[in-house]
Parts: sequence; structure tokens; C-alpha cells
Amino acid sequence: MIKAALLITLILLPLTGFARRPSLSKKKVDKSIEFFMEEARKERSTFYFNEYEHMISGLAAFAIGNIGYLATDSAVLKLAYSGIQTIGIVNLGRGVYQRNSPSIKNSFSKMLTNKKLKGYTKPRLARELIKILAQEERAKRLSLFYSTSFLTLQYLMNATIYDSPARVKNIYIFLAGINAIVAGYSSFYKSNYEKFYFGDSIDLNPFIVSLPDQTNFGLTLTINF
Amino acid sequence: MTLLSIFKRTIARGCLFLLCSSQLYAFETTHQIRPHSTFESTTLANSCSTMKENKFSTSCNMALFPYSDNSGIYISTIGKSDGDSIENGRDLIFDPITEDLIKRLFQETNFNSFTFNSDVSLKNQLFEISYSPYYLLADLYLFNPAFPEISLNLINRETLSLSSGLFLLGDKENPHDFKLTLGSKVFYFRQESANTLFSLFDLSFNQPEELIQLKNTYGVAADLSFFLDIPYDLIPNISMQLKNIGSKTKDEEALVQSATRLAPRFLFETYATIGLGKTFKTQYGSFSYNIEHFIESYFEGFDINDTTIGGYYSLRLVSLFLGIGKFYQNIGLSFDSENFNVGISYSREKDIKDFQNRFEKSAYIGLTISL
Repeated sequence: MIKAALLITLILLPLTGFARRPSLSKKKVDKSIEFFMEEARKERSTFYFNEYEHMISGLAAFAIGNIGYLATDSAVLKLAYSGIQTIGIVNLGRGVYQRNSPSIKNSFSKMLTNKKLKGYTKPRLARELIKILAQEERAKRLSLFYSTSFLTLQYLMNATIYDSPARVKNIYIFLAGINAIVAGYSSFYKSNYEKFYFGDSIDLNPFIVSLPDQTNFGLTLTINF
Repeated sequence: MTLLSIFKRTIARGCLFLLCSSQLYAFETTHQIRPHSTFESTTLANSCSTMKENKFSTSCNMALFPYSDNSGIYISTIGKSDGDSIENGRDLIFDPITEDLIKRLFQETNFNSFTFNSDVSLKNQLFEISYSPYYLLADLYLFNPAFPEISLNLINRETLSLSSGLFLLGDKENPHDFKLTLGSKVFYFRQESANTLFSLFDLSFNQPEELIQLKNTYGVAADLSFFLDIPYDLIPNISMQLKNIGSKTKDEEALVQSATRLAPRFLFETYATIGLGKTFKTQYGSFSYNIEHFIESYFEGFDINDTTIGGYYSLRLVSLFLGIGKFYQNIGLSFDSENFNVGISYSREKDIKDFQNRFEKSAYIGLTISL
């Protein structure tokens, strides 16, 4: 009996060499990283229907606001259309922001999932963080510049070219002046992060990003089927 | 007195009796702006009870409350801003009453209407509290060109309501599930109203307070709503609502017997609605349609003229509305920013239906502020 058991053990022992090793491809992911990735995945879609919805809506509101303003004689309706013009231009600015904003959570997510890098040194981490913050500051500045510039133009048109009630012409000119000041300020003033990463030169193009040592073209055209 | 004169007088009185008795019922009026109305529900001709997952859904049908995820404080107003009624009302109030004015009023339209609604709402995931400080309605009907008289219906209603909704059947997260939701609203109202008749020339010699005696009424009523969400594109969703349950608003006997008094419908008395509609979401925007039928009391009677069709397209920040019925045709646009929403709509309307000789062209403005 004992001899039979020893014989079976001796036969089976070499076969254990062919047993499958437990998979080592699934590494243990840190809980904090897992939580961050999940939150970033939820925020991935910043748009509801398509990525140009803000710009399309803004342009539609701007066009309809101007057409309606010209077409109506009623003072109350002119005021309402002026509100629509403002909403349209504000949404255009928001579209510029979305076009240029790096989305901080998604940027960190890309850093954590970059398979070419196993880790980050302190200098590299600092450069990545400065890049993200500089892009965010630039997106906000460009959004403010374009929305206030278009508002200045719109209010000046309402006051001087369109047939507006006399009582509101001065208000339009005042609003145009305020927006012109803000537009001028946002065109010249850069935050420290922006100056460090993009340089000191004037930078107002929402489609082209100019770096001190290189130029990247940022215009994209996508067709979905 | 000769026999001939007696005979003539008898014939004349008989004719007068026949003319009056041929129209025993008051003029029934309908209005697009109703209590708890928003710009969206008004422009859709109140045909929106199946349009779920929109900011205005709960103003159309409380059974859509479980689908809403917008919380916060909202201040909204909707009112008629332009049209014949506005101009005529302004002339009657501010200009002297002259023969030319009377002739013009009778030639253009002898029925004028003005409505306005305002709401302050607090919404969260569990319930919605809404306070409406003003629901204003002013209907003015001019008749008898030889000696002009005005039939005036004036209403100011203040309402405080509490509403909520829940899922009865189905799982909200599962898009392939049949879902049945229930919604309800309980509200307290306080109303000042006057339904009166006076001569046009009385306006020149008397103060309006002497001509218009306002009557105060108070009460509590409720709305009950159901919504069946069917997960197939070709089969429309179904909604059913009972409005103003427990309302004690009844037609006064004198009002019903009068040929010239104005009686509003589908506003304060108990009535029901049935809706069929669907929403489609694509990458080019969201499309919705709805067919709504209004029925008096607890599903009594059927009149095809009380059916309206609503269409809605939205690309998140810009929305297009269409509302069509036999007596109302509307088209409108609204524009959203984060805290501010403006809407403008153009309408052709006949508030007194076939008794109105032509459609009145009006413009409505809606404003919503989100805090």
C-alpha cells in the first residue's frame, strides 16, 4: 500500500512542473489611482450631443438674436433679442474654452496611464503640472477675450447701427466700454504659468498653440459615421 | 295705442327674445398661459406631458419628476409682450375714448386678452416647492357697436404648491424596461376675480375700482399624473393627468345664462388630459413630439378641437418649439446659459374659438433665472 502510494507520488511529482502558474499580468493597482481613473472616466464626456454643440448653439443664438433685433419694432422684444445675442456670444466664448482647455482630470489620467513611463521624476512631474495649469489659464483667457470682444462689437452695433430706443443706447455704449476694457486686459495679461510655458508674446489664436521652441497646429476635423 | 303698434311691438320683442335665447351659453375662452405654465409649455400649446428629462418636464407633467435631475432655485416668468391685445389694452387705459378708437377696436378684433405667470421654485431630488405670486388673466370682449359695452373677466391667482413623483414599476437605470411613474401636486390658492359688464363710456366718467368689484376665493386642490415609458421607438409613451381635483370652481348660473359673459376653460375647474409622445436622442440633438387631448371634468365628452400637437428640438443650449392646434399655432426659440434662459415665441391664436373673426398675432417672452 505504502509502496503504491510512493510510486504514484513519484510519477505525479514531475508533472507538477507543467501546472499553470498563477497569472502575474494583473498587477495590484493602488486604490487611490483606481478611484481617480474611475472619476476621470465619468467626466470624459464634457458634451451632451457632440463636441461642437456650444459653438453651434452660440452661433445660432448670435445670428437669430441679430436677425430678430433688426426685424422687430417692439422695444420689449428688442430687449429680449439683446439678451439672446449676449447668451450666444457667452456660449461662443465657452466653446473656445472647451476647445483649448486640457481638462485637468483627463490630463492626470493620461499621465497615470502612460505606458512609456514607469515613473515620474520630480522635474518631469513639475513640467507636466506646469503644462496642464498653463493650458487651463490660456483657455480661460482666450474664452474671456473672445466673448468680451464680440460683446463689445455687438453692443456698439446695437447702439450705433441698429435702430434702438434712445433710452438704451447709452446703456449699450456703457456696456461696450466695459467689455472693451476687459478684452484689452485679457489680450495682454498672461498668468505666470502661461508666461513660463508659452512665452511672453501675444497669443490670441484659439486654433494654433505657439510654444517658445515649436509651433503645433491644433485644428482638427472629424467626421463620424 | 293702435292694434298695429301693439302687433309691431309684440313682433319686435319676440325677435329680440329669439336672438337672445339662441345663445344661452357664455363665451368659452381658452388660454395658452395657464397656472404653473412656463415658456416651454406655453409655446408647445400645453402639449408636452411625455417630454421627459428636460428642465420644463415637471411643469407639464409631475409624473416626469423621477426623470429630472436638476436641483436648485428657479425664478421664471412668461407673458404676452406684443400683439393686438397689448396695443388695444394700452389705448383703452391711456387714451381718451373716442368714436375713432371704438370703430378701430370693432374693426380689428372685439376680443382682447392678456395673460402673465410668474413662479419661484425650489427643486431637489425628493420634492418641488413652488410659489406663484401672480397668475394674471384679463379678457375683454367688446360688443354692441351702437352702444359699446365691455364684458370683462379679470383674475389674479396666487398659489403655493408641493409636488413630487416616484417610480411605481420598472428600473430607471434600465433603458429596456417598461416604467410607470406617478406624480402628484397639492396646492393652496387665493384668487381675486371679477366677471362683469359695463358700458365703454363708463370708463371715461368712473374710476376702474368703482366699475370692477373683485371677489376673493380660497381653496386647496390637487393634480394627479401617470406616465408609462415604453422602451420601443415605434410605440409612443402614454401620459394621463387629472387636474384641479377638488376644485370648487363652478360656472355661476347667471354666467352660463348670459350671452356676453366670458367663461375660461381648462384653467381652474377639474379637467383631464391624455398624451402620446416620444423623445429621440441623436448626436445632432434631441427630438420630441407629443399629442395632447384635453377633456372636461373626469373624462366627460370628447371634442377633437381640444387636441394639440407639440414638437421640440434641442441642441443643449438652443431649443426650437412648435405648438399646433385648431385655434393656436406657435413657434418659438429659447436660449440657455448656465444661470439664465430667454425664450421668444410668436403665436396665432383664437381664444374664443370660432366666435373670433380672425387670428390674433402675439409675441410671448419667457425668462428663467437659475440660482
